[in-house]
Amino acid sequence: MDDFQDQQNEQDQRRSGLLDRVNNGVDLYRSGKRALKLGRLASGFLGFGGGGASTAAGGAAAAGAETAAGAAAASGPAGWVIILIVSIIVFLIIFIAFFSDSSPAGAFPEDQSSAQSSQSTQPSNVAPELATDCPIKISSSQITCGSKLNPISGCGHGDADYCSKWPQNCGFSGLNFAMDVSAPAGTPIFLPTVKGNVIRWSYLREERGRSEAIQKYAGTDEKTGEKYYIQFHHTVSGSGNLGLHQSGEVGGRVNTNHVHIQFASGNSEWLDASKYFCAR
Amino acid sequence: MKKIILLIVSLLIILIIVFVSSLLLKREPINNGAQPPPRQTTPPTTKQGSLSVTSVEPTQNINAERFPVQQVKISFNQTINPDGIFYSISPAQEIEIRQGNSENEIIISPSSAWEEGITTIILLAGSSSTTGEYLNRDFEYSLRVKFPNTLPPDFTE
Repeated sequence: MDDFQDQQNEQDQRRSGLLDRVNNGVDLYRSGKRALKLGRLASGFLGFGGGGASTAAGGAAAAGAETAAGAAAASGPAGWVIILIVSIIVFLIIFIAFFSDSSPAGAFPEDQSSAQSSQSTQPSNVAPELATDCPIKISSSQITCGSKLNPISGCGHGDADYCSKWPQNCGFSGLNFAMDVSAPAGTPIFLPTVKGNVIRWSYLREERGRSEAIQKYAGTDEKTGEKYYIQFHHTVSGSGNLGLHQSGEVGGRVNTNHVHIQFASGNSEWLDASKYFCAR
Repeated sequence: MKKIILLIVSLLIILIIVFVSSLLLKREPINNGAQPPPRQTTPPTTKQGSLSVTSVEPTQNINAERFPVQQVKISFNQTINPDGIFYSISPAQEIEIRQGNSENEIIISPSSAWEEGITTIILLAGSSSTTGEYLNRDFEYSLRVKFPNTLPPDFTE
């Protein structure tokens, strides 16, 4: 008799457990259905809805929401609090993902960077008070000759004194606007900034003589789009830096004791180099 | 216990889906910072014909030798956007078109440098102003490019 009573109690307990599970399941289903509706509504609002692939995300989210909501409902109010917190986190993630800008402007593509020569060196310790950039970075360098209109150190390219000393040089294009900067043989000549702006320099060609060469570059101001042209004379043959480069990279090497610089604008006009470079 | 695990797993799934979706939505066309190739697209056939070129700097002079970095400023009778310009370049070279100093001006320059010799730029009919007016005929401009005559490499000073 006792055995029979025990069996009945056990069956009652099982039935009760089964009913609980069924009830839980029904609750879960109802909560899930509600969450699915909400999910669809939300996905439609966010533009996920409407069918096709985009629905997949919304559907998946809704399905996830259904499961989560169901589970949350089953877990009581604590579940809904977690849902709320996670929703806030999700919102923050979306907000950060949409409004953060991770791509740096003006960055060179990798292939160009990798093409840069191993001799490339970024300018260092350029004093902000320096009026203009200087292709020669050593402290002992000096402007040994300025332009015709802006003579420096008692010398102006193309003026009467200069032309009496070196008459064979006068009459050439751009000479009157040139400048000379002293530097020992082998000193790197850095591609300069112009008016404080970084220039994308493109190697054009080398004009080679018997013992030295001219390196020629075209430049584009990365900020304004302005075009420039520069020539470095008295350089080591073959010291030009092929490809694209930014200001601060090496564009050649001094052959003897100075570099002669000629600089021009995108209007095919020579510019007074001494007013753009090495001014202190 | 199972319910809590189910809850956490579900929340993680939602989080991952939303994160991936947001990344996919944020993705932009890959450019790699490279210069865009020359645009030589076919302009639209509809033409109203009220956009025209008013001036070009430097003025066309095929005998004048320009530096390889010569910029060409083209002014129009209406406001212009570089994106509305269709063109062809001969010989084919990469160029950049940017807004000039005024809204009616564009500046055309080589991406690096013009090739030596004569380069012809043609603004194609169908190029449009910002107000939707069209250029009704091609506009052609040529320039002669040469490296500046300069001191020989071995000159002394």
